[in-house]
Amino acid sequence: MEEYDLMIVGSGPAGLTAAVYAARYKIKTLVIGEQIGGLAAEANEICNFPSYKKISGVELTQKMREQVEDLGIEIKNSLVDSIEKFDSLFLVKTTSEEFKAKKIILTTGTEKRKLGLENENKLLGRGISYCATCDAAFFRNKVVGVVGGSNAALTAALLLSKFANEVYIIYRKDRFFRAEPMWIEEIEKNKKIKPIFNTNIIELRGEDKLEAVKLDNRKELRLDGLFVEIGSVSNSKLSNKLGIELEEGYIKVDKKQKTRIKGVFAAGDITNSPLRQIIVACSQGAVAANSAYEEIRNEAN
Amino acid sequence: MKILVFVSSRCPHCPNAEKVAEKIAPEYYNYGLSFKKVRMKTSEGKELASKYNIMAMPTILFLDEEDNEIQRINGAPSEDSLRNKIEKSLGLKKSFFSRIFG
Repeated sequence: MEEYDLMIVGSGPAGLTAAVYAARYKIKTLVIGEQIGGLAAEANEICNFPSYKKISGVELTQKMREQVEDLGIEIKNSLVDSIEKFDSLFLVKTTSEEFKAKKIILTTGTEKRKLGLENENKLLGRGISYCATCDAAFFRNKVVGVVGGSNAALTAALLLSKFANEVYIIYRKDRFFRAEPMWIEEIEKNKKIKPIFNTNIIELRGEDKLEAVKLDNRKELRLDGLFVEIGSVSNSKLSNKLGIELEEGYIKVDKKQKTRIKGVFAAGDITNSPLRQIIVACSQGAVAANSAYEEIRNEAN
Repeated sequence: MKILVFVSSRCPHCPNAEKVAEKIAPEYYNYGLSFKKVRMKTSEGKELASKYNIMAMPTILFLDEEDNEIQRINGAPSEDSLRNKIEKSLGLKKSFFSRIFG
């Protein structure tokens, strides 16, 4: 069984940055993740990452991936099923492989929250989508909806307006109070976008593909596509099994990115960070790699 | 059985889906599996997307010998997950119930 100094579980910006630092510390490292680039790869436009005025999520995360691979760190495309601690080592299992590691950095991030309605899974990829960047182009000259009122919902609506004829934003509150004013202004200026406030979707209609949604004001809205942007939930299954302390579902870390379990660090959106942004995830990844390296070095001496 | 991987240039998870499928599919060529990448910008891509109601990128479509859909995966699967689904569709892996009840 292959043994590593450091295993980074999760391959978004936090994990990839941790890997860049680990490579420079010359510790034997493996990155293992299901979605390389993570949710950041789905961002249509990133305008607040220093060094780029504007860059797509795909391009930015691809650059991170290339940097890690150029430094000689392997990125494995697998889902980790479990992590167990045995004395001073961790046993990491995927469906088909097992590894040993001295230190673990968890960067498993978050996943998109679902509506939780009947038919949602059945119509996924048949009109229901959680990624406007991926699927907007399918809705040229169509009528689409976006559920939610966050920055992600508003930017999804703006992107969709470049393809669709009409874009409805269905939001349960009476105004966009969570989104940045810059995006709200853009929405207000866009004639194709029509917000519907104080409204929830209660039913998804369609057999082979989405045809309409039923709203809680009893009206039916005919839609070809519906993009769900109602926030995210932490991917904390592995931390639960390890007995890591959580705070409202997110991993509690100290300023060195240490968790309650010795040898396990966490970085990025999975942590109880006050700001979930790519730049924050990257900086936490760097700190976590440095803390893991310090422990490895101290234990070796 | 045939696997079609629908990809487009704008899609964030398409490179991952392509890489995984290109790596895993050849392991099953001896079991009659064939694999094809379908670019959405081509006329073939548009035609197949319309035929199978493809509205998400990437989509991995499993087809039988008569080109009927067996199942689909939306998004990029992990290597293990794709291997598992291929083996189930090819009948190489028995389900939990068939393992118990035969």
